[in-house]
Amino acid sequence: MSRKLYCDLYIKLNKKNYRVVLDKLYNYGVEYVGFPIDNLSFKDIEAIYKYGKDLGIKLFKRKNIKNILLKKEENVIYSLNINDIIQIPAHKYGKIRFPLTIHRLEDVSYKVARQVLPRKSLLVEVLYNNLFLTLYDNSTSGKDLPRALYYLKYLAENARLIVSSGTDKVDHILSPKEIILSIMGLFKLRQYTENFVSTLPIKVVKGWL
Amino acid sequence: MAVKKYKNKRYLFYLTSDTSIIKNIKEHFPTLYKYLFGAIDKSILRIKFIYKNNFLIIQTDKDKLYNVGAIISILKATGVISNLEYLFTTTTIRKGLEKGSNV
Repeated sequence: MSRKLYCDLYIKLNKKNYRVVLDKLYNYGVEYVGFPIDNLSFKDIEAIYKYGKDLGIKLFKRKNIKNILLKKEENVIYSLNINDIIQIPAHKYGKIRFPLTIHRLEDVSYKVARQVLPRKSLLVEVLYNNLFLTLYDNSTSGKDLPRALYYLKYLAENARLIVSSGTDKVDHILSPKEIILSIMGLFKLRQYTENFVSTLPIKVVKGWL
Repeated sequence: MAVKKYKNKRYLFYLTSDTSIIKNIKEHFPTLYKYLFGAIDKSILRIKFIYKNNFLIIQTDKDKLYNVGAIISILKATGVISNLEYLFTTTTIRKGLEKGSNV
């Protein structure tokens, strides 16, 4: 069995929250953390890296891209919105070495799912903060269950789903165990599929970094 | 007879000092549960929330353990309930987490 790594690859750090958030993640046993760098100054990023290094957490910048970059940058994980996969020629999917991020559940149309689901090399990242907020809001407004939930279930069953927080509020952060519990409950998974959520096989992470 | 009665029960343990948390959970729980899993009435009645000494204990049937855990996580991640720390379940999730440890 490959070694599991607890990670949160998309958490919104800023000047005000990075200490408490990183402390909490550290206490949860999270080893790898990715954070978007939009709206962060060079000084903020330096401070975040220093704090993370003192805690022993490995930090990665998340950079938004529209097109696939073939050249890797150190300590960077690219963020490609799942909706943008349609603009990329299918023969280039094999070159994608980062997750496709779902920022809004509504973005996962049937057209997008048809491109992504059959490709075993494509990993998808869902932000649980947005996922749960959508479910919570929809439950009170009488909307149907989002169809995207069934796509996510398929991905989770095939160990292709990564779950990150997508939040900037420390109180909204779940522990890895809670995330696993909630994903298993939500998708009615009968068996814990190793490395499907908040954990990554070390060989996958090494391939990206 | 007593052992048989609790055989299929499972427990979720959380730590909190917020005494109103049960009221908040109960307010949102039925709606969310029905929305996500389509079940209500008897299913909900068998789920118990017990607050004692800063521990929130949720007693549920074996087949509802992860469903209940999912709903509590949703309420937590959306900020509906806060100051709630997950501790453990009384059943280990197969092939996951630390083996042999419920904590």
